[in-house]
Amino acid sequence: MSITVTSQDARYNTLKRSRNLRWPAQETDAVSSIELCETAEDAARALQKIIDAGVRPTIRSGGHCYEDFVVNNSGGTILDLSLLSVAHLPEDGKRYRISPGRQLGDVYLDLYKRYGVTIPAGSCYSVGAGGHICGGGYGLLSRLHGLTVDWLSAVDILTVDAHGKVILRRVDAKHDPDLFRACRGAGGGNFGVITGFLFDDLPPAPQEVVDAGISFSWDEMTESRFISIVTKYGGYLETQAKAPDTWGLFTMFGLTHKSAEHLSLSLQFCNPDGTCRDLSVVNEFLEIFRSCGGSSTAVMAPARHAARESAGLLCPEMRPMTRRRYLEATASISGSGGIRAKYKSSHMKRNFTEAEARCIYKHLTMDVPGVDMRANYLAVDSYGGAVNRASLVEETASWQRSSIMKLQFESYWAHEEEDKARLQWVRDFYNDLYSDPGVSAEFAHTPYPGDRYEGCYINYPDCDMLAHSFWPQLYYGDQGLYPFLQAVKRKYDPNNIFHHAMSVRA
Amino acid sequence: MTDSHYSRRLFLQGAASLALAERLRTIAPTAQAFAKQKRPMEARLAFVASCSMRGDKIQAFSIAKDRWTHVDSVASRAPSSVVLHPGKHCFYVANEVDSFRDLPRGTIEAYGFDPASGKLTLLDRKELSLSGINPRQLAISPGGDSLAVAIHGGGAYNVFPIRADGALGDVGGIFKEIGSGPRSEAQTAAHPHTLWFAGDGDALLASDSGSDRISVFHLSRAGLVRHSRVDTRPGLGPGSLIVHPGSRFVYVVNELDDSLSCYRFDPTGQRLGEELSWIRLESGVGRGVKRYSMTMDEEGRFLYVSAGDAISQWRLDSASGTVSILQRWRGDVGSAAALTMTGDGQGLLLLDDARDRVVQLEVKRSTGAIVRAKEMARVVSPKAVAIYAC
Ligand SMILES: Cc1cc2nc3c(=O)[nH]c(=O)nc-3n(C[C@H](O)[C@H](O)[C@H](O)COP(=O)(O)OP(=O)(O)OC[C@H]3O[C@@H](n4cnc5c(N)ncnc54)[C@H](O)[C@@H]3O)c2cc1C
Repeated sequence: MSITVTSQDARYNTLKRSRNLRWPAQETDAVSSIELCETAEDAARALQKIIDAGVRPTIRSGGHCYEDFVVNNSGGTILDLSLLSVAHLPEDGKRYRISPGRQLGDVYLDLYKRYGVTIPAGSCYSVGAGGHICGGGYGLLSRLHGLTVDWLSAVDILTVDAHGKVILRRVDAKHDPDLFRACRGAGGGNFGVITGFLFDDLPPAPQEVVDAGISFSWDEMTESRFISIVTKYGGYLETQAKAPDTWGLFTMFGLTHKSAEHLSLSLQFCNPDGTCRDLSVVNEFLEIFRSCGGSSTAVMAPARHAARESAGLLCPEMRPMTRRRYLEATASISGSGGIRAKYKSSHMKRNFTEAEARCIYKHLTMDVPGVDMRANYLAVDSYGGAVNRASLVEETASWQRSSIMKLQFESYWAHEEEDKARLQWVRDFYNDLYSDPGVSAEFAHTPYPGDRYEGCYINYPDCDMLAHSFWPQLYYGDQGLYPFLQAVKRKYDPNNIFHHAMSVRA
Repeated sequence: MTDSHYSRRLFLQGAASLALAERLRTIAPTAQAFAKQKRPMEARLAFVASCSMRGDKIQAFSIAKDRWTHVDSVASRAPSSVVLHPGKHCFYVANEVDSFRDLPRGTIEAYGFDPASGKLTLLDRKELSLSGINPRQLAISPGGDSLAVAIHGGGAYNVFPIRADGALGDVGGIFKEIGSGPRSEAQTAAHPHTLWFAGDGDALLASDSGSDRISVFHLSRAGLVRHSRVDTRPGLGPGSLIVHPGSRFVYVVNELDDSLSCYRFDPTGQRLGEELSWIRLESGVGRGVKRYSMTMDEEGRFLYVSAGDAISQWRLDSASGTVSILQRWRGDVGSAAALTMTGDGQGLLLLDDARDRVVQLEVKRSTGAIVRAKEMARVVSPKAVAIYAC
C-alpha cells in the first residue's frame, strides 16, 4: 500500500515542494496529495486510484527536475517513487536492476559492492535514477562508456491504456520496442511510470581515477586571455579528445562569474583499462594551458590536499593530481537542492569561435546591481568519445551523437525577490551567445541543430525554449525522432495522462 | 480559491439570487436558460462569437424586432461558446485554442458589457489546466458563482469560481476524463462535449463523445468529483445534452450514430438512470457538415435538433420523457453551427456559418412548428451566441 500524504499531514508542506525552491511558483499550483510508493505494485494501485478519481498524476523519483514538471499540478497527485528502491527481483535472473527511487550515489555503491560494475551516469549523488536515466544519463565515465541508456536492455513501465486501465509492461528490443526506444532518452513524465531499469551488461567500475584541475584567477584575466583559454579548451575537445585513448578523460570547465574570483577547470581520468598507470593523456591536456598561467589544483579542499600530500597520495606528475579509489571519488559528489535555480543547456559540435568566447567573457564580467553574481556560471563539460557512436541514434532516443561539449548555464540564489534579475541574466547570456552571425535568423537565440550546435539536453529542460515553435527540434533534433515519439505517445498514452510543460505533444 | 466557493450552501445561496436572474434571460447554444417567465423585453443585446480568416471576434448587436444592429466588437481567439451570467452584466467565452503563453492549454475569457450601449470590456482571461486544449463548451451555475468548461481536446473538465465583479478566479476543480470508444476516427481519447447544471446547480451533468460516457459531477471541497456515471452503448458518441425542466429526464444527441436518447435522471441521488428511449435522427436529415445542435423550449414541450441544413422538431412527453417526431424542416439555410431559443417566445436562432448569418426561425406558439426563417444579421462564420434581455 502506498503512503498517502494530504494537506492535513505534517509532511505535506515539505513533500509538495521541489528541490528547486522556485516550484510550486504559487500555492494554487500545488498538488493536493502525494502517494509514496515502495513497490511497483504500490505504484500500479496508486496510479489506478488517481486515474479513477480523474486526478492528474505527476511522477517523482529524485525530485531534481529543473523545471516545474512535477510539483506544478494544481489539485493533482505526485506519485513519489523515492522509496521504490528494490535492488533485485528473482525474475530478473542475472540482470542488473536499478529502481527509480535509487539515488545515483547509492546506485554506484550498490553496483560496485555487489558486482564491481558501474553506470556511466551523472555526477550528483542525490539525483534520482527515475528521472535521470530515461533522459539519457551522462557523467564522468560517459566519454569512456557512453550514456547510461546505451546500456539499458529493458524497462519496467506502467502505462495507462485507452480505457484508463493501468498496465505493467516490460519493454525491450523485442517487446514494445518503440516504447523501449522512447524510454532510452526522451525524458521522464512522458509515457508512463518507470518502475525498473534493467541491464544485461554493465561496464566494470574503474579501479582508480585521478582528479586534477587548473584554476585561473579573474584578477589577472583579460578578454584576450579568456578567449585564448576557452578556445584552447574547446580546441582540445574538438581534436585530440576524439582519440579513443583519451575517452577516459572527463573535463568540466566552470566558467564562473568574475565575482567568484576563479575560473576552475577540473578533470577526472582513468585509462580504458580502469587504471591510472599511464597519465600521459592528462599531462598532455594540462600542458595545453601552460602558457595561460593559472595555478594547478588537485581539486580538493586545501586541508584534505595537505593530508593527502603528507600521506603520499598525490601523483608525482608535472601538475598536482590526486589519485583516488573510484568509489570514493564517485560517491562523494553531493547534490544541490533547497535553493532557487535556473538552468539552460546546449550541445556544441565545434570549438568556441572567438566571437562566442568574447560573448561569454562579456556576460561573466557583467555586474547586475544588487545581485551577488558568485553563483552564476557556465559549466562546459567534455562530451563525445563513446557517446558519439552514430549507430545509437536509431536505437535510442538520445540523438546528440556528434557533440564535443555540453554547456550548462546555471544560476543559484536564495530569495524570491532576486528571481527576476537572475532569470534575466541567464536569458540574456543565452540569447546573446546564440545571436552570433553564424546562427540563422530563423533560429536566433537557440543552438538549433546544425553544423555548430546540436540542440539542448532534455534532462536540463528549460521552459524558456517553449517560446520557439521549434522547441521539440531543439530537444529531439529534426531528423524524425520527434514524430516517432509522438506516435509512441499516441499509442501508449492515448489520453495524455502523463504530461507536463515540455512533454511530447501528440 | 478557497474551498468554500464550492460548498453546497453557497450554491443554494446562489440559487436564491435567481430572483435577480429573473430579470435576465440567457440563451446560448447548449447553455441553459435561467428564467422561465416570458414577458416582453425592453432592451436586448446579442453577443455572437465568430471565427474567420478576417479575424476571430465577439460582436455585440442591439436587437430590434426585425433586425439586429452591430454595436461593438472585440477580438477574441477562436471563440467557441458564450454564456451569459445570470445576475451580472457580463458573459464568458471559451477560446478553442491549443496554446496559451507557449503552453498547451486553452483559455476562457470574461467580458463585461454596458446594458445600454452594448459596449464590451474584457474583464479577464484565464488559462485552463495544463493540456486542457480546445475547450468547446461552457456552463454557468444557476447561482452564477461557478463556470464549468468542457475541454474537448484535453479530455478534461475545469471549474472556475466567479468573483463578485464577474472576473474569474484560478481554476478550482479539475477532472481528467479518460476513455475511448470503438470509432477510431473520433474516439481514440475522451472528448468532453456538453455540460449542464441540473436543479439548483449542485449536479453537473457531462457528456463525453470520445469515451461514450455521461457523468454526474458535484463540486466539493475536494474539487470536481464524479458522483455517478453511465456508459452508453459503445460508439454512440454522446454529445449535446439537455436536462428537462423538473430534472427528471435528460436528452442526449448521440453524434456518432445519429440518434437521440432519453435517460431518467434522479436529481436527489444525482444519478442518471436507465435509457428510456432511443430514436434514430436519420442521417439523411441534413446536408452539409454533420454537426448536431439541440435546444428545448423553456416549458420543455419541444426539442429541436439541427443537423446541416435541416431541423427536426420533437414532442416531449413530460410524464414519460419519451419523444416523438413532429416536424422535419428544411428551409433556406446553409449549415447550422448552433441552434438556440430566442428566449422571448418568438422562436429559434440558427447560426448559419455556411452563409455567414444569424437566422431567426419563427415558430407557431401552439404547436412549436417552425414556420419561416428570417435573416437578422450578417456575421462571418458565427459559432455561438448569448442573448441578454432586461
Ligand atoms: C545537482 C544536479 C546534478 C546533475 N547532474 C547531472 C549529470 O551529471 N548528468 C546528467 O545527465 N544529468 C544531471 N542532472 C540532471 C538530472 O539528470 C535531471 O534533473 C533528472 O531528470 C533528475 O531526475 P530525478 O529523478 O532526480 O528528478 P524528478 O524531479 O523526480 O524527475 C525528473 C523528471 O522525470 C520524471 N520522472 C521521474 N521519475 C520517473 C519515473 N520513474 N518514470 C517516468 N518519469 C519519471 C518526472 O516526472 C520529471 O519530469 C543533474 C541535476 C542536478 C539537480
